Amino acid sequence: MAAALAAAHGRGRKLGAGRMSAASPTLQVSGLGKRFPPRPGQAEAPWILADLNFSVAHNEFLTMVGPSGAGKTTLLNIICQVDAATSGEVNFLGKTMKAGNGATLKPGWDCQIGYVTQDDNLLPWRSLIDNVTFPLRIQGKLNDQTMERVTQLMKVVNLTGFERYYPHELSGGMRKRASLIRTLAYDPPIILMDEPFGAVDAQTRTTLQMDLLRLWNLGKKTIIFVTHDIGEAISLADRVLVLSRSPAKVVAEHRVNIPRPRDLSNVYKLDGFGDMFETVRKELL
Amino acid sequence: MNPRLQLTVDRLVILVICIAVWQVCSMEWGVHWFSSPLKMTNRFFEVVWNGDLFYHMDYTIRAAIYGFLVGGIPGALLPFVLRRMPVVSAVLDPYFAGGYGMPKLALAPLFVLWFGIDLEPKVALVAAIVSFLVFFSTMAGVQAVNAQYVNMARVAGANEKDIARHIVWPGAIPYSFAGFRIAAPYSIGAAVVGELISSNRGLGYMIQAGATDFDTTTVFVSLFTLTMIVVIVNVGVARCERWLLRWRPRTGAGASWVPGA
Repeated sequence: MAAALAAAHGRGRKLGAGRMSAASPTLQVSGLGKRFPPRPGQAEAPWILADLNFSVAHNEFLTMVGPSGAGKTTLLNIICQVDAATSGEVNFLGKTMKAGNGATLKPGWDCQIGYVTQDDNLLPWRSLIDNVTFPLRIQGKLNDQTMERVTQLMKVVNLTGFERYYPHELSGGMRKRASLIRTLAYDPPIILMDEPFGAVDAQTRTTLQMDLLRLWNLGKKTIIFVTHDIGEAISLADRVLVLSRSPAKVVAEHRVNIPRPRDLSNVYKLDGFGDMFETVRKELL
Repeated sequence: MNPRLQLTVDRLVILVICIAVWQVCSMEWGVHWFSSPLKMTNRFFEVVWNGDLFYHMDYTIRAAIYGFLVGGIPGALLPFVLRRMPVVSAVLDPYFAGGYGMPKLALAPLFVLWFGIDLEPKVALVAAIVSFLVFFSTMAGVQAVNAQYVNMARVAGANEKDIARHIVWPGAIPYSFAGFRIAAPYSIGAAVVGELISSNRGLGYMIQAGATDFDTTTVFVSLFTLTMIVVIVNVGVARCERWLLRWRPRTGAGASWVPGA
């Protein structure tokens, strides 16, 4: 087992080699593979993920861009232990999640990994403020101090005044922002985001992206952001990983050196954006 | 004319037509078959004044309420227990289906044998009907729980108890209420059937006694009273539901429609 662990670390270093940051990886994915149980009449189900290796550094904004159906959601589900891996392992803050049957999963690694899903998943029977404070309440951490933080977050994303509204009374963009700060409110060190802005119009999307960068600047944290939108992947990231079609593999890695803060309404004019966009587009073909 | 007033007037017109048809029937075929609107009204006030009506109403309503609680509470809670026991649930499934399929009214004579002729057999009959209606609709709600909400809560640190309380329970309430809404009029109906079979009190008994005596006026008074009770109960359940489910949009899929509410 020790040998396997060492090998996994070795692989991780190889991929990480040549990066400018010296910080040790916060989260490391090694040899990760996944396939679902075969359907009736199917001898073997295809691999969704196969031998996937990458790592994320402390406070890094990592984006992963891949075609639809590449297994991006599956990957995030495994990283935050909602789903079990078929092979490989995930290392995070000295703990290891090995491939297994799912019986021992700990979704969210004891509230250490937050997950902003594709759908906002606001609970329709809770008002906006009760949704945002839901994780804090569950964790027994709802006090004056955290409530202060929630109020602050609500203000940053322009939701002040809508506290007592129910989700069905809010617009899609507002619900997105609410689901974003619901995760930020309890301050997990890593946040996974699964195309959180997939279902909104282009203008709202830009606003939401700017909100996200502003929140990230307020209290830096490690983010793994998955999308199929190349522009979004580049404009938000410190580093972009390009995923292949299923079974997903990392086919390329780009460091984004566009200086921050970035003006996302004009990101297409920023230095180096166009070239990188073109390169990633070709890699995705 | 304003639309609200118009609606009221239209409704009154229908009422007048119904009463007129009734009057014509009783004049054409005889008061002993159809009673008459006037006779019924007189008798209604008579039994209200002398307390007979409340004496019988009290009995029927008590049977319905006790039965509703005895059947409805376990019916609403059992699905939450079974949610955590998929094997037990799968094993019991055909038995629940069988129990649901059995015509419960046919159990009434058996309940009389077991529980005598007082309130107990009526309560048992109401409970038998209500429990299955509430159980199956709540079960549907528990099974329809949104897996994404559950995952979200788990990632946020929720344990199984939190999930039952904050995700499954509120999600199942609309389904439970669909069951309550159907069960509420049934509980009155079942209590009345129980009284028809064997009783010396209750609105069902009033109907039975009236019909045996060729006293159709009493039968009509009882039917009218029962109808009023059920309408009021329906409105009450709908009010309660509307308050509990105020988080839901008023219209759209799943919005409930209750006659009169």
